[in-house]
Amino acid sequence: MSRMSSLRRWMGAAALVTTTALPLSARAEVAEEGEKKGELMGIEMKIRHFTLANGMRVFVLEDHSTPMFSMHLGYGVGSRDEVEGRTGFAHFFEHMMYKGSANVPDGGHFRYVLGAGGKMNAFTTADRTQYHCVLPSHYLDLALWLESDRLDSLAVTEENFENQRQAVLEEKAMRIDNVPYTGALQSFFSDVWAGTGYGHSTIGSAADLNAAKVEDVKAFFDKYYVPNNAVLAIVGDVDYEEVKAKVDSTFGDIPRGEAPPKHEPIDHTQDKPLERTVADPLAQQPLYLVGWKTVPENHPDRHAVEIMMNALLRGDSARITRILQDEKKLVIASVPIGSASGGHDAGSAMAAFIPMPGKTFDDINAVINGEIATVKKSGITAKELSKAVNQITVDTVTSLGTNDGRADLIVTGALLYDDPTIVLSDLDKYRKVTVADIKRVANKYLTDNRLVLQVTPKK
Amino acid sequence: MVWPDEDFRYEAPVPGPKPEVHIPQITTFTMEGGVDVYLVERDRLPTVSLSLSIPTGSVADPAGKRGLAGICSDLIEQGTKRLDKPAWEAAKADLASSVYSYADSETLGFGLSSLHRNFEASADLMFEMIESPGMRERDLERLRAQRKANLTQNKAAPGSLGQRLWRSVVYGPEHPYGALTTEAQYDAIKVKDCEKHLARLGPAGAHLFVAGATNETEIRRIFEARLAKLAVDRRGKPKAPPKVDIPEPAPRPGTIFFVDVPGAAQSQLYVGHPGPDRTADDYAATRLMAAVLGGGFSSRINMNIRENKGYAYGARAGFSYRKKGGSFAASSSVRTDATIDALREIVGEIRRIREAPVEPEELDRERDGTLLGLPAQFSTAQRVRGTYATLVFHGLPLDWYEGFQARVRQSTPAQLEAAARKHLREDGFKVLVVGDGAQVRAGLQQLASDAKLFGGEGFVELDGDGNVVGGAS
Repeated sequence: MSRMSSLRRWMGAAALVTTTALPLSARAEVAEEGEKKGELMGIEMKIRHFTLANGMRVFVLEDHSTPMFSMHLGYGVGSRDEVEGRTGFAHFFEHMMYKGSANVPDGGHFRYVLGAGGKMNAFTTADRTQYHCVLPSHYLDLALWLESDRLDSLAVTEENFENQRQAVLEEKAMRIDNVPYTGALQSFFSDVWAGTGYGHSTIGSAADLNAAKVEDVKAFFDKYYVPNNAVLAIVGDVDYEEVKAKVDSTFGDIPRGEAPPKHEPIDHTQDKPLERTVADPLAQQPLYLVGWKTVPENHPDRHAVEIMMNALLRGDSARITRILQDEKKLVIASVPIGSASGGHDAGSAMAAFIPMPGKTFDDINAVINGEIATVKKSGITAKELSKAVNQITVDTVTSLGTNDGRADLIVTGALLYDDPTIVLSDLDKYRKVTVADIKRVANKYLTDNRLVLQVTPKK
Repeated sequence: MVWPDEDFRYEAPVPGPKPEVHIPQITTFTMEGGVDVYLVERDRLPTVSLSLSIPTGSVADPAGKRGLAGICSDLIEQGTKRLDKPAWEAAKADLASSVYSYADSETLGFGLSSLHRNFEASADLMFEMIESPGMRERDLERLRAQRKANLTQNKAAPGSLGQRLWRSVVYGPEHPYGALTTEAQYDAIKVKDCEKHLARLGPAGAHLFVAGATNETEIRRIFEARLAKLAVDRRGKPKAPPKVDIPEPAPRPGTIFFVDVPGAAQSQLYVGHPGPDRTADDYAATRLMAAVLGGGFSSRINMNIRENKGYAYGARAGFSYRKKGGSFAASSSVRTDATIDALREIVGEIRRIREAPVEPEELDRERDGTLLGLPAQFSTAQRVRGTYATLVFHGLPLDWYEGFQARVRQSTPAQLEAAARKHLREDGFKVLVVGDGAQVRAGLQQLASDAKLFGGEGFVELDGDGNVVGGAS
């Protein structure tokens, strides 16, 4: 399609616009309704929620301080749901969803939202795919119309498929293949979780995308893009009753699909070390990574493990970082890995470093081993513990500072934990972690069966 | 069920009544000693953030010691005389505060963000950092090693290499906006240089930007006397931050500048030239025009390069502004085999917007988007602070957004066309390509000889420090 013809199509569609607004159902058909409240340091999350008869869960948090709202629509599908030979599909939909639907032309989504002064984007993780936008509050109807139309009638055509396949391959080239370390890290993470849904990268393989047929892609959409696999959160200058009526009129008659398959628990056993050495042509310095499989996110030990790792590694004053960076000058920098490996049901703790020229992995390892032995024997200090809890508290307060942050946390909580206010109850759990817990989880998880990656510059 | 065919789905909903755009005001006052304070009072969150912005920056770095402001600013935040680095980091972490020193190209200074209950304790740390920084040789050594390692890495990846070199291509390698820092320059910077640098940083002409759960009384109580004390040096003389006159851009001859990264997965492209000041009368028309050309997903360049041709994941174009003189750049990271075609398409789009008025629909889209998007710029205390800080930086009045809204509302396709003719060049572009030489060099050399397309000043190959490889052609 040429640029002009697509522009003309768009203008044609825009010319049809008359003065319709979304119909308000007399009585929203809502299967279940309620309110959930949380409070943290004076910040209240008063979330009202309802579930449509077709299973779609909706959460509303009113905040009238700015005439805008943020909307996050999350689908419970991520790259972990892909099958071998067909990787990259979940992320591929992030692209297809902007290619038009029965009543929205190709690219129309962007034009409508940007033309209303809004912003939109989407992201895909191993566990979920999430579409989000920020709009002035009088554009609520537009946001619901756009999202419901594409869930209802996405244009999964050969032409769109080909066009977006190219864009995704270029995205992979730009974000992964042309960036030092990224490809090496991703293939290592895939090895770590081989045999599970987390055993491939979210962007998928070029070979799989090239081999995919439009029917495969359509089947994937029909299976996972169903209202009973979706969570919608709207935070900002909106009225709950109005949202309820309008969500019902736009999404209410989209039929429920089959329940997406349940995920089996992931085995975290690691009975021998996993060690890899990879040459990276773009790397100029080596990178050393050390890690361990730990626990899935819904495991009761998650909070203690996270605090332990923060105390050891997060920030310049963390124990291991301080020794490696300042006292012994063995590393130039630590490289944050975050949650890049695994996902909701597959947890790991990892640390990566760029060594000072001339320093070796053995030098760095000796420090790490020594500190881990100390933590296993005596835990961390009360001060380190409270510092780690403080950092997490500040992170949480910061995320809750924007409508967008709150909408994201609500969707994440509802999709992955079935609890939209998990961010607040989590904080309670972090606060209850004791030094004894740290000692216990250190002994339990920081075993000799480590995950080790060395990336070497290719000369 | 016939859900996609229901009547209401055919057409985009028409928005409800537009809520009034209310631009949050900012409180200003001047403290004894001359620091102007810009305060955004908001107590929705129990946090405060603040920065003291001093009107100098890395542009004032002496030749031979480029990178001075940046690395010295890092050194200042490595601890104090009393607290070495680990103790300093621990002191901040105990408060869950951040206390920092920063250096941009034309401002530098100090800042903090903290929970309100730790505001004063964080300010204590900030002043301790400014008044008696540790300035330890071993910290500088580590920072130098880090920066040199980053430099080495940045010179190997097309994306970061492009960012590193683009300004030197547009402004020229000797220009303050275009000068590059090298490993040798980092080696030349000593602790003593940083001590001298800091000794000149006083609050004269500085601005204090504050946002969050605080008020004028509290700000005066915590900061007034301490800032006044910072105004003079040990001998009681007023401190004077280094100033620099920004000359006209002086790019080196050449049209297509190329850096070879063997095996690069894509080519990183920039096409552009120097541009207008942020204070130009036709800023609103220029901004709307640039948005049509390359601002968002629906822009002409992105639709062409990404959606229609499939050359890249995305492409954009726009103006960026400095204190004196902006620049225009279109950029993308494209498929290696599409490097030449993508450059032709980008230049084609730049010329097209100069030659004919934009479609009314394009103008409507960007005009509405700009006006309706304004509240987002003021949605949190930090954003309000940032928005006003930008106005202050460019010397624009605090009520600037009022007039801006009117100018955007009244803009016409003819005004956008005039802005395009005035601020976009027809030729005489500077082009930077970072990619795999074995695959793209010959094509670029040929393209550079096409005087009609780019201006015909020729092909120049550079290394990662902007030095000419093998002599200019």
